[in-house]
Amino acid sequence: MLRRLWQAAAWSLASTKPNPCQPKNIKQLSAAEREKFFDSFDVVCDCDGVVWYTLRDFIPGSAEAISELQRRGKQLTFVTNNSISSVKQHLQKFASQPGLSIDEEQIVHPAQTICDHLKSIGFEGLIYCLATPPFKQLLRDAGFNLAEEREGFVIESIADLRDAIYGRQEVQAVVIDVDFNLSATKLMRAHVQLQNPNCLFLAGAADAMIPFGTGDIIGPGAFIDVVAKASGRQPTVLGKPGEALRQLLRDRHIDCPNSRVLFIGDSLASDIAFARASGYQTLLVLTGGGSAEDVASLPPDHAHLPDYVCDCLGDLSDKWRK
Amino acid sequence: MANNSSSSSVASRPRHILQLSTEEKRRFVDSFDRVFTDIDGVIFTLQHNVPHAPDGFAALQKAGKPITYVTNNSARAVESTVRSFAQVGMEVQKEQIWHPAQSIVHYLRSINFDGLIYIIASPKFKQVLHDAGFQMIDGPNHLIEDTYSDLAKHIFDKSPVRAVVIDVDFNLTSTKLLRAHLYLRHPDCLLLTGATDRLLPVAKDINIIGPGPFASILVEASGKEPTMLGKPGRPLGDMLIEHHKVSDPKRVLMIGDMLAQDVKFGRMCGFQTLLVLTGGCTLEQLEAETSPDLVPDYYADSAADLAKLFETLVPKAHV
Repeated sequence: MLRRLWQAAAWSLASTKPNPCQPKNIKQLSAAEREKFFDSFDVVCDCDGVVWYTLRDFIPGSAEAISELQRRGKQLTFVTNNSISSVKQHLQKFASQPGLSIDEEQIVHPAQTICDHLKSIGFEGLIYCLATPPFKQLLRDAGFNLAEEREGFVIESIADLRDAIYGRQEVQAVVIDVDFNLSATKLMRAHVQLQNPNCLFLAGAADAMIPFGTGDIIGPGAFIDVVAKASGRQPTVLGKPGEALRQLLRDRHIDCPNSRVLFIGDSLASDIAFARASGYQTLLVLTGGGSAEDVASLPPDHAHLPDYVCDCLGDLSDKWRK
Repeated sequence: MANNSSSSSVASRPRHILQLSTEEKRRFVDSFDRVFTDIDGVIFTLQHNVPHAPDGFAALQKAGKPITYVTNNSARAVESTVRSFAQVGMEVQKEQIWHPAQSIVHYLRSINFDGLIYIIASPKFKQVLHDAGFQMIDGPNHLIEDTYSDLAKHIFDKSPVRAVVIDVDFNLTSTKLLRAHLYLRHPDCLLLTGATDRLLPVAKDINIIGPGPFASILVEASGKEPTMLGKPGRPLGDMLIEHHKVSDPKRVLMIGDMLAQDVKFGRMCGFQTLLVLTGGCTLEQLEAETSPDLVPDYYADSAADLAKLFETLVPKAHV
C-alpha cells in the first residue's frame, strides 16, 4: 500500500513538470485526448502480468478493459511467454469472466509458435526439447518425435556425465523454453548436439529475468544464452523478446501499419523494448515487473521507454474508472 | 628477455623455449625464482599422463625453482593428487597443491567469515569446506514439480546465507541458480567463485560447457562483483603472492595449458607465462590468439621440453 501511495506521489510530481519525453499516464488524459488515444490503434497485443497476475487471478478491472477494447472494435491478440498453461486453459480463464469471449487464434504462446514454425518448414527429425510437460505434449500431439531424457539422474562420475551428454540419440533440433528441472547436463547435451550445423536451434520464452514475487528471478533467456555462447550459434527465438516472434506478429497484422498497433505489457525489457523495435505504440501497466521509478529513471529516447503508462489495465475502461 | 608489457595493445608472439638461442635459454632460466603450474593438461589428462612431463618438473626442482601446483580442479582431493604424482614418480607435498576449495577456505578464514554458506559444487569440494568447519546448505537435490508454486517453495528461503559459493557441479540445476540469486539479494551476501572455465576439454577437440557460464549468470543477475578464487582470479593471485612472499611477480613463471585460465591468470598477476600444448590449446589456437591478455611469453610442446632445455644448458659431464 505504501509503495502504491509513493508511486502515485511520484506520478503527480512528474505531471507538474511536463516532459514531452516522459510517457503519458492514461488516467491523466483529457476526455478528448483519451478518444484520440483510442482512435490511434486498431490492434492490441497483450500478455500476462497485465490481464492476470502471473499464473493467478484476474487483475481487477482487466476484464472490463478487455470488454471495452472489444466494444470499440479493437482486434486483440494475447502474446504470452507462458507455455505451462495450454491454450485451452488460457481460454477457460478468459471465459470465467462474465461477458468475455476469446478465440483460440487470439492466443500466441511459444509452444504453439514453435510447433507452427516446425510445421511450416516441414520438419521431420527428432527433437531435444527442454520445456515443461504441456509444452512437450503440444509438440507430440502435433506428431513430432521428442528425444528421451533420464530426468533426475544423479551424475556421480565422469562416466555418468559422459553417458548423460553423449550416450543418447542424435537429434535434428534443440528447443529450449522454461524447464523447471533444467540441468547443466541437459544444456551440455544441447551444446554437443548443436555442433552439428544441420541441427536446428529454437527457443521460446527468452526473458533474461522474470518478475516474480517481490523482485525478479533468473529467466530462461540466461540459460538459452549459455548454449548460444558455447555453441557460437544464435537460436530462432519464437517467444518474447525474440526477433522471429516479432516477425511473426508483424505477419499476423500485415494489413495494419505498425504505428496502429498498441502493445501493452508489464516488462520494460521483454515487452516495451520488444514492441518499440517493431514500431508499435507501447503502454506499460504497473501490475507486473515494471515500476514508476524504473520508468522515471530512464533517459529520454531510451529503447525501454513506453509511450503510455497506467497503474492497471482497468484504467482503459470507462466503467472501471468510475 | 621476457616481454611482460601486458598493457601493450599488440601482443608480441610467444617463443618456443627450445627455439631460443643458448644465451636466451640461460637468461630465461635465470629470469624466474619460482614456478606456479597447472596440473591437468600439463602433467595428467583425462586419458593418459603426459609423457616425460615429470622430467620437466624434476629439472626445475633440481635448478632450485620451488614449484606450487595451482589447479582449478577441486574434484580430486589433495591426498589423491599427491598419490597420482607419486605414480608418475613425482614427490609432491600436500602444501604444494592449491585448488579452489582450499583457496576459498583460506579466503573465508582471512576475513573471519562465520556465516552460513549456500554452495553449488561437487561433493569433494563441499567436503573441504565441511572439514574446515564451515556451515553449508545446498540443493534442492531432487526433481521439482513443473509449477511456479513448487519452484517458489524451493527458491525462496529465509536461511541467513551470507556467502554463495559456486564451482563445478555436474548436478547443477536452474533451481539452484535461481535460489542462489535470491540469497545474493541480501546486501551482505558474498559471491565466491572457484573454477570459472567457460569450456572444459574432455577429449582432444571435445569441450563441454564449463562452470564459468553458470557463475556468470549469478554475476549478471545479482550485479555483484565475485571474489574469484580460481584461475584467472585476481584474489587468488594476491593470496598466492602473499603466501609465498613474492616480492617481484616478474620472477615467477606460470605454466599451464589453457589461455583463458593459466595465461590470463599469469599475465594478470604480472608473472611470466609458459603455455604447453598438451591440453586445452592447440598450436593453431595459440597462433590465432591476438589478445595481449591471452598470449603467453613462451610456449612448449610439453612440460617435457623443460627437461630438454636444462639438458642443453648443463654440460653432460656435470650431470
